[in-house]
Amino acid sequence: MGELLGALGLAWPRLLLYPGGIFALGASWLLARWLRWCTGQPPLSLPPLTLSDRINVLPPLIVLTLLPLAPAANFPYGIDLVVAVSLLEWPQLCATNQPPPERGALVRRYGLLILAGLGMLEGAGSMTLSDLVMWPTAWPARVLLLGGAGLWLAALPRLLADPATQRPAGQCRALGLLLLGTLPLSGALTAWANAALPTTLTGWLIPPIAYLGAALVLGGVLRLRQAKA
Amino acid sequence: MKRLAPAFVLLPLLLTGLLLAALTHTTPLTYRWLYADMLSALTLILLAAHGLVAWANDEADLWPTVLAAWLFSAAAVLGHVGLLSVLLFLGSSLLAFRTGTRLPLVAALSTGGGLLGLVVASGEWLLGAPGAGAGLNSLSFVLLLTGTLTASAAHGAVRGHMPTGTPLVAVLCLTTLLRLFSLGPWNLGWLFAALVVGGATVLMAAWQAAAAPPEQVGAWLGLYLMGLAIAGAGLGSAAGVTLAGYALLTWPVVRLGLARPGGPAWTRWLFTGAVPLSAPFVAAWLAVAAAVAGDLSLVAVAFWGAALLVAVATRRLAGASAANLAPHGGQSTAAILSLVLGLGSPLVVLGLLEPLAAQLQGGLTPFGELALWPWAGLIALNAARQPVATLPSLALAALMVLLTAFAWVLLRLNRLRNTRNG
Repeated sequence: MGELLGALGLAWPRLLLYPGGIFALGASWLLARWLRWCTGQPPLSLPPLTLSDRINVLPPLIVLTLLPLAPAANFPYGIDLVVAVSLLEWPQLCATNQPPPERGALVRRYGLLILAGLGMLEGAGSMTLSDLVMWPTAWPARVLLLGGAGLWLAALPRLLADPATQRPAGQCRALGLLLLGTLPLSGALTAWANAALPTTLTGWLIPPIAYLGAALVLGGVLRLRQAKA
Repeated sequence: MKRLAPAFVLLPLLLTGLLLAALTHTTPLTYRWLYADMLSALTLILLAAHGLVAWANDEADLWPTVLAAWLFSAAAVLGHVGLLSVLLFLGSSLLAFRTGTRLPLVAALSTGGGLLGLVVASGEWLLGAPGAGAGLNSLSFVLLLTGTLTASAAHGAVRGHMPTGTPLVAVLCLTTLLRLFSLGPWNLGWLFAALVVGGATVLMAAWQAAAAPPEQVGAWLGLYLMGLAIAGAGLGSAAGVTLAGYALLTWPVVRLGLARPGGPAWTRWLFTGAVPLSAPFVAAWLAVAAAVAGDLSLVAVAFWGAALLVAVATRRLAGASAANLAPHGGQSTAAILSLVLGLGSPLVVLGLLEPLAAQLQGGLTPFGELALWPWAGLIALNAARQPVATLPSLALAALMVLLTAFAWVLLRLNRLRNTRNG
């Protein structure tokens, strides 16, 4: 019990600053603006937040808080991929003002994501998020892990095309899904950079490069899709 | 008073199950034909729970169900194969007479036949006898698995018919199948067969639940949970047995909550696995975690996909017109039970399912174990005892409370500042 209370007591930088709190809200807002700009839509002026908006933002915010991103303070109670996706998808499930998706649409939307999950699971040999950042030693595992991450990012344009993404909870969901996909990339880049740079520097440098790069690529893909349409 | 009478008859059964769980926590109790262990205790608890759910749902002609629950409970604590088969047949006959279907009888005959096959092969009538394990044979296994599937009405579900299985018979058939682990290890073919059949049932039920009308969602989710339990047996590990036990415990809660899907809107979210920390969500997580711990990634993602499909059923329920849904008093109780079972899953594992897996350990493989994460939640370990999946349910709940408190303080400060400025 003391261990849990101690961990919660030390979790405030994660909850309030990074990777949750100010960083999560700011980065998710920026990502939403960037994605709207890439798809040629004007910046959205949101109506005042309702109580359900405030409640629905909590589960995705918890996932962002618990992501194993360097250089965040250590938190011993990490989550796994299934729990993370379930918490991130909460705003989507709560959007009862839209009709529920048909089974075919559901398979199209989540099929690639689940396939990506399989790749990452096989590559990392585990579902825990902290293991997704570990760069494996065997090359087949590396291929599977990176392939899984690539598929994950490829699944995002379809997942983020939903209008519910524009609410704060949806914005946090989008950021969470993007960051989950960048975890293996971040691990790979860190392993590569550790040979050339000091460890403390890679801890500060690599994660932002990974998720900025992923956000740019995602925006580019959305732009291309828009141009094709 | 007349309405309460069945509940008064079933409550002692529930208490007996809980008492038996306390008594057999470390060692099974054996005396002549009696053989009571944690699996017997779990069976008693489940039978009583399903009986009480039938009572709470105001099912007509309840006394055959109550009598069958008691007969099956007696069968669950008997180590004598002949008596067990007779009691199973008697109880199933009562239920077949009540429902007007032959399914319970067919299931009972199949399971009874499988049990008698064990006797023929080993020459032992007592399940606890030293030589009883020699009787394990493929025909008996197939008959026991067929009995479980028949009792769950999984065969009709293949054609898209709403499952109309009898939970009491299904529970006894499945726990009898799990009892085979106490006789010895299953061969790989049996494990594979149970895993494939259970996995297929899970996928099929989840697929149907995602598109079913609101009044049928409960029946499909029952079959989904039964499929998880069969697949848990097929995993053949301590984690698989824990999954089977937890899925079976979740079933009565879902039956109570979704018998007539109406009532307060918030309750509907707690029965389909959409809400993290509810009992169906924990059951789905246990399924994925047990498969990952057994290094069966493909099975794990199949369970994950099924869980997503089931979560969509929530949306259908939430979007259903209130006019079509009759209010139902038991729904709030079931919702609270779902939260208690979900948040209290570490305690359920510690008090009931971990000792159950330990008592069946002789027949289980070391590929996967679910351990308690002290004061945080559950953790799945692989054969090398490395953590492969984590569900820190209590830590997550505590973090949510903290975050809500922070948000509330910020909102109050903002309001205070606006008041002063205004």
